[in-house]
Amino acid sequence: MTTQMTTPVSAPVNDPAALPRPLTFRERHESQIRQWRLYAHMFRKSFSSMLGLTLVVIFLLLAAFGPVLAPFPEAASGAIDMSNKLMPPGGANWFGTDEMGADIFSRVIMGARTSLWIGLIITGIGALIGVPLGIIAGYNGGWVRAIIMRITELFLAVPGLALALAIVAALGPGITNCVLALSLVWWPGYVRLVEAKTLSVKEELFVESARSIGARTPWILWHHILPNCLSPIIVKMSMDMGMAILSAASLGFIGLGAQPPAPEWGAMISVARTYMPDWWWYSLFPGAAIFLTVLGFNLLGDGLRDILDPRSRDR
Amino acid sequence: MTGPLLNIKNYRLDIGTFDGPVHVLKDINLTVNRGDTLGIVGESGSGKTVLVRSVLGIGPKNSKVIEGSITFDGQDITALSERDWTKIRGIRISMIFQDPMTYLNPLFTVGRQISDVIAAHEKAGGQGVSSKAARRVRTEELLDQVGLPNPAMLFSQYPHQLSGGMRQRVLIAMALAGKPDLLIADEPTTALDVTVQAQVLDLINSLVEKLNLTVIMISHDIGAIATIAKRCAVMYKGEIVEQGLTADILSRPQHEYTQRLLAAVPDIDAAAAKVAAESSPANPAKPGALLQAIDLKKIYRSQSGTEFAAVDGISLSVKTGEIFGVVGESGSGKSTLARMLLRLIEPTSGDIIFDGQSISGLTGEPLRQMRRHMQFVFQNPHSALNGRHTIGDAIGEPLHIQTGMSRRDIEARTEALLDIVQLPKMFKYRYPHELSGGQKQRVCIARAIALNPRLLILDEPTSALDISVQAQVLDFLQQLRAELNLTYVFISHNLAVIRQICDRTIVMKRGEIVEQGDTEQIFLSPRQDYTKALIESGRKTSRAASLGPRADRIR
Repeated sequence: MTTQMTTPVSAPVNDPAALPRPLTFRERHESQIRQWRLYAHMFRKSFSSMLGLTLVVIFLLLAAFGPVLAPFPEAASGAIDMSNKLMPPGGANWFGTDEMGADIFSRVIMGARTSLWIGLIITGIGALIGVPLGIIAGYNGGWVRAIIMRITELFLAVPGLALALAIVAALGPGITNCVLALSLVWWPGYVRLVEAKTLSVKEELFVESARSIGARTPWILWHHILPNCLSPIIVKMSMDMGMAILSAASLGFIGLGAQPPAPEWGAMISVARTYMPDWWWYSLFPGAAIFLTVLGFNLLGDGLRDILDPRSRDR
Repeated sequence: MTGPLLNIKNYRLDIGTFDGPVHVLKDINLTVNRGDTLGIVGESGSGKTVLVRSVLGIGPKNSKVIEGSITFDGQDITALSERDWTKIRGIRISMIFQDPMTYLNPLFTVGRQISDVIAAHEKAGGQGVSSKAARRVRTEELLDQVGLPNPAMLFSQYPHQLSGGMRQRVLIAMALAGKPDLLIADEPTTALDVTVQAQVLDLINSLVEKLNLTVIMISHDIGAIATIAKRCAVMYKGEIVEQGLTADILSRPQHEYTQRLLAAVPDIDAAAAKVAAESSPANPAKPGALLQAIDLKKIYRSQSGTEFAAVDGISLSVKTGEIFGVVGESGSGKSTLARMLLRLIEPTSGDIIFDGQSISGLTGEPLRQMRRHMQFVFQNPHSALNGRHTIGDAIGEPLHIQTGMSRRDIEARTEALLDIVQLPKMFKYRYPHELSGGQKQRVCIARAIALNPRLLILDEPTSALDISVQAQVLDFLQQLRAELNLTYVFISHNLAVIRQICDRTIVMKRGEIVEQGDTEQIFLSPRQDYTKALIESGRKTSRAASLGPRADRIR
């Protein structure tokens, strides 16, 4: 195709061989800087990506500085103030108070940190198990692939949440067990994704080229296959953050995850359920927090997918 | 009927990119009269495809017409609505594309696809769609017109059952379905084998005469243009640098770029002025074979159990210091052979001997060590480099893997290698997508010679490159061989290139050696019919042929 618009680097005319002085950081990394600016430019153009990024940044800030920002940090640790119970939003309690008189605004803010580490651990463990298995399955083929993929499919055949439920039920309710259970059901998605990507990357000429210079398999996997599988992994992890938070909240909601009075959004809604609809604010605000966080991570993932798409690369 | 059919005036087109607008077309002036055959020659990135696509209203995204107009049959089509386009596109102007496989839908029969095109035209033309039977008759007529045998049977065949040349004919039939005033052919022969190329060009020529077609053909291959086009325009960096009668341009190129382009075309009829390897004092004593293959076979078994021999019992012997050519059309097994010589593909049977040692039994560490001595340069430099590694990483990779050199030494050696392949040292910080094709191929060569190998296997190293770049790379390869005392196995489908640089050559067909011997001897007195046919078709598009009889015919 002749429409391809590459930008050949023009060689310095005078003496191409000589490098008169050590290059500055900027000169050495010119290519990367341009690439990142291009990413930023494309990302900024899309409203939904920016909305996603904003939501995620707010969420991260709340998680980082929650205890400082919350007006009543003691509300998270189960402080009881019965004189103030179930107050509607307004005044000192922006989101109202719950049946123990704790400030819901503070509890929602404090819940961000819980949700963040739930999301990070679940997607992290999921990727840590799934990515290596996927690469090995895709690159090796044969019976190794058959075994890994059959086990993966076995896990995929059972609905993830139902399986996690069974595991938590066996281990006993609690936030640690909940995270553990979800991590254990989260990896098959990564195996599938990475295996498919590996299958296509390993047919690329540069992999054969690496073989022809005598590269060993681990070198090829680490230096050639993995970097080229990275974009879909990043996109999936970003979207999975939202889903993992939602799943953990679901387990919390049915009482198998975090236990009240821990400030976890799912657990808060679980208690608030009995106060519907008269004391609507009790469930609305934790629910909105879950909604906005999941939305934010999904939009961010969509945006990342668009800019990491190889078809939009060489511009 | 008086004015020109197509008139492009002061046409300028920009494409908006992240780095600001790129001026893709600069002040294009071009007229095409009825019955004209116009060729547009240019290298990749010269803007020729963008130009003809603009004529068809399918220009690139984010493009903006800055100035000028395109008039088709008296009507300004620069800013036509999508609705009005449907009456022109495919009906009055139609196009043949480069790759016949990707433009046919594998799920439908050939007949159905052409019938659908006819129906679409009838619908767009405002008249009712004719009956299925009527369309079938018309389709078979079209298939017959493009010289396909047995149209009735072909009607119900699927694209995968046809060869590349037949598919291209089907596409031409499809393009003719609307009885177009103007036919645009975008590199119609590039994806085809030499012998098929010649046939397709003949077909286009005969259609021009029979149907009084007006044709614009674009190609990077000046030989193909010369066989078709009476008039010709040369494009370079978005400009038309020269236009006029093809014969004039070929015999008396005015612009410096055209001269350069013509000089770069390898001539199949020119005996190469080789850097005589035999007389070179650098490698006197060792006339022995560096690489030998004995009865090498690769058999693939399909799922239905039938066996297919990609390489069927090939024996060859490459002497130290020579350039050994392997020539053949696609599917002849030459790439499979090359990969087997390096053990990238396991041979089914046979033996490979490198420097007196059999390497077909090697595994693990000894095989890895052996790979130092023989290296591979791939056909497509665009995909042979990992897009996520810098050029420095790519060249340094073999040193990392095969030697215990320190990081600093590797850096130094990388810079030295960039020097050898005549690229600036700055490039080690660049990424492959920032380099042009020729530059990338030089990087691939630098990578291949990093470990001081003794043998390089070059699998069509220039076929993905522009002609002027091809000439540079070929020169460079010869120079390099003299400097580093290398032996080459050079694989190509391009006979002119083979003749230019190879000492000895084998001709392959369907996994077997048809003919072998001295390159000059093969070209001067081919013994086998296949070789004769191959050379004859190569000659057809070669410059010499087009300058000779064709020029006479025009005068």
